Amino acid sequence: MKKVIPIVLVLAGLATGFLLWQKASKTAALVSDATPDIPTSVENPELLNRIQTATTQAKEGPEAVKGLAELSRLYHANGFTREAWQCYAALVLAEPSEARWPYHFGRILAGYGQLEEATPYFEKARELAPDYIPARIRLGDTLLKQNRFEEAKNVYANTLSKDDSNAYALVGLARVAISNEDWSQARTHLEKAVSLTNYQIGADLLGDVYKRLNLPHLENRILQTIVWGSYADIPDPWSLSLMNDSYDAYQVSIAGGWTVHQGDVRTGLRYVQRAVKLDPDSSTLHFQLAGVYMKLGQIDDAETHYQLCVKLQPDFADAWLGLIEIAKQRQSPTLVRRTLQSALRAAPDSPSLNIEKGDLLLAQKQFDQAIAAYKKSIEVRPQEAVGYISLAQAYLAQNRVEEGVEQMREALQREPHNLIALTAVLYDAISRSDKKESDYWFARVRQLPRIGVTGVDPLENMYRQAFRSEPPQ
Amino acid sequence: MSFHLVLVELKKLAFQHPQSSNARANHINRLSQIKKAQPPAAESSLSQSNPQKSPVRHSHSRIKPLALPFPMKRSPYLITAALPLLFLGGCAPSADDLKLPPPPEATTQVDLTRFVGSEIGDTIGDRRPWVAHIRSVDLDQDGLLDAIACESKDSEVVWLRQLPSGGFKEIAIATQAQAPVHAEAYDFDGDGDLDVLLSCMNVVFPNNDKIGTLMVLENDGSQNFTKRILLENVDRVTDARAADLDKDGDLDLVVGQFGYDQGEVRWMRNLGNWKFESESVLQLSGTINVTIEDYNGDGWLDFAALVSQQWEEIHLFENDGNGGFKKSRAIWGSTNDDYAISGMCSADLNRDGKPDLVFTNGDGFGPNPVPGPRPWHGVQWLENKGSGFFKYHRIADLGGAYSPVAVDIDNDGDMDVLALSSFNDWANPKAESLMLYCNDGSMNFQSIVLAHDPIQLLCIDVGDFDGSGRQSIVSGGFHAYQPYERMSRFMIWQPQ
Repeated sequence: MKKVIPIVLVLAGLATGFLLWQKASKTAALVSDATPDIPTSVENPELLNRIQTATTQAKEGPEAVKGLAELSRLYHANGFTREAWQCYAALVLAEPSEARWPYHFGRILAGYGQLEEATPYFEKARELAPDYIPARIRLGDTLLKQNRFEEAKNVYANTLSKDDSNAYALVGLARVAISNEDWSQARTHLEKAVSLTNYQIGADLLGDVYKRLNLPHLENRILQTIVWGSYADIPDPWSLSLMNDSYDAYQVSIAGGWTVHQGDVRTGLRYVQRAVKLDPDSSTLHFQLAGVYMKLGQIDDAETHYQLCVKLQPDFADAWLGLIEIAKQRQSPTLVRRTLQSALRAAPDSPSLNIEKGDLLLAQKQFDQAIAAYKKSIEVRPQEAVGYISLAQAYLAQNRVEEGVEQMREALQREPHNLIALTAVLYDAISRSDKKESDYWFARVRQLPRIGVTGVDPLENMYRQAFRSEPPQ
Repeated sequence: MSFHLVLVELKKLAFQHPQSSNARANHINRLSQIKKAQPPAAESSLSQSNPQKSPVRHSHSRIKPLALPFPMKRSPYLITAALPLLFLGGCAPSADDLKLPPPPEATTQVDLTRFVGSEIGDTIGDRRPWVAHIRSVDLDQDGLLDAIACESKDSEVVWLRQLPSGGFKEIAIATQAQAPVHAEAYDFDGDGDLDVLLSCMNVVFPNNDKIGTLMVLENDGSQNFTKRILLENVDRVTDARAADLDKDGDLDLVVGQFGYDQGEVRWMRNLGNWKFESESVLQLSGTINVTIEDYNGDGWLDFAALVSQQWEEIHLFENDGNGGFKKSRAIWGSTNDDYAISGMCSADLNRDGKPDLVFTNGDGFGPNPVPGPRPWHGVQWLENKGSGFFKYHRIADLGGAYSPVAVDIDNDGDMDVLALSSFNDWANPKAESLMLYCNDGSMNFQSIVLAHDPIQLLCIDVGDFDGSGRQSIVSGGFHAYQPYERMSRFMIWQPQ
């Protein structure tokens, strides 16, 4: 028996070596076989060159896996989802300990709604990178959308044990609670999420939960406080970093835009800058970049890009408005006037520039000219309330009350729930002691929870003084 | 036993590791699917909700326990030596384990002469139309197919009445209609003429105020219409459909309310005399479309809702047959909160007798000044597998995809799909605008570009407008974004 042991060990050693070699060969063969053909639609020369190099490396080595990894990034980042899928399918096998491969693969699959297939990949990513919270949230969301509520609940709860202030996990738990019609549990989770994120995450659902719980005052508070469209997806550095390899200016700009929206303005700036670099002749990208600089208070940089924007597209009214805003921030009336003049030369039919002109003239008490500018704005865009409201304000500034109120009514024809116009006609009705009309407009104002208590209080007081009764609730 | 055979057996053993057996089972299952020559498109089912349908769970039983041909217990050294081999053998990746993507789509064809488009109704002039919806219907029931459309910027509902000459006369049947975005025709009051059910957002662009309105334009029989408000001061209404959901002989309603941050889906039981009782069945923002069919085949009408915003889900509401609906269930969902689902219709696409769902994703609105295409935008369908379960199939990629319509456009007996690219790279003159996905009869779809322009079409419908038995297409343009060129308002696209 003793003689057998060394023989067995030698054989085992040989076998191990053989299998290691075989495994490496198999992996290389797998990677080579799985390497996608280069799509004919790759247009950017630099991208094409990188894809060709990575393809060769993946097919022929050395370090075939590294080549395939590079290829996966390039394809995923540049919208070649099918090719990226193919790369990830091989990478999850070739590098089973790398969490990013199942994560990205899961993102592609779950993105297309192939949730059942995506689930094991997110589970794997969570196992390999237990501290990467987005993987946990994606897993929870994937289970939730498959109606696997108990499993989703466990994932979200475990996420909270890692990061007890994760609003996305709280919202996930709230959705599980809502699926069970446990509204008070949902309320608890959502209130916490809202409190942690200053109404950015969870407020949308919380409003509905309050409604279900018949708590209109709390629902109204949400409606008054929520910033419209404030929801943003969980920051996901792994996905975002793909954009470093993107040559598609539009996709990079969107990634930058979402990152800014998530609150990471500096990182968003970097991507929008990259987008501009990729497509320097795009006026909209310069406009977007200028907007990001404005958020950061870098008005010199913003001015540069607004200028580039109107150079590329002279009638880009919103970019002119950006330049006018900068002139205002510099407290230079001359610069404001000159910029506006240039803007109107380039875009004479812009409603917003004509309103800007009207506002400027109104501030100088040049009423007739201001009114003419507002009328021009209405002529160009008659379906919007803003022109009528501006015109009304010009009339009211001259104490031409009836004409002003008439324009406010015109505004309400276009936008029946316009807050400024509604409160203005209500004010007018109370001033005229017209109780019937006041009641009508008050009822309309009440339907706008956004107005808030501070907006309604003065009107209620006016009403009480005028009619010696309580306003309609 | 030779060393090679030992290795073979050890590798077989490796497959008995639970994880490996799953992979193996998956592979077997996949192979069996390939052998059945199923459509090659990417597909998925929410079978976790229906475990009987899960391929993985089924296929566990396909791996038989391995009977070892040698006495393992008597060979401890061999086992010790074999462990690393087992490990290595089991870890070596195999091409069999690859979960490959669907094959690339067939090359897109271009056929710009298949349908020829011409403007109908009033000329566009210097307007920038916002036509949010168009529906083919013989509104005056004179035997000539007309269309009704929502011009949401002008807050008008337009009747495009077909004249005996084949031309169309544009008649506004409702003004100051609070930004209408969807119109359907039904005989609500059973008086023999068609009324119009109108969904109004009041403000088309983002707004969370409760400003939505649902109204019926009641027809007096001579195509004079009176507004009847059914809902007002609610989350913005985007789609409403009518059907007798409770089998009491009148039309009830299903209402999708996009809202913005708040939104909901409700159904409204008709109590008679234009009175309705509302029940909210889903509290999520972003519903774009609702559809009504007997999806689970139990003889009662159910409905589905396409929910966009950050949710990106399709929900099914099954009729409980007792005057109510069961708790809603997601039948599809994406975790890409930017998937941008944009429109849905119901049709028996595979003609198996069960209504399927066809939907697009391509809503380009986002943080950027101008919306555009994303790589994952496209057209897809959910195959109704029965009992309320559905399976996902991708039809094609299409940037900025909108307005799916299922129709046998070539009269060859199978259902094709039409869709629009509403947001595309319009600097490229070859960017697709109007697309046909032609079914080969086996649910494989050939992509055909029918038109590159006009651009920014947002809605289409089909119908036999000329009585030839062939389908024409009507379209509406929505021009809220640059470039303001190659614009259209209402068009008819007739087959050549």
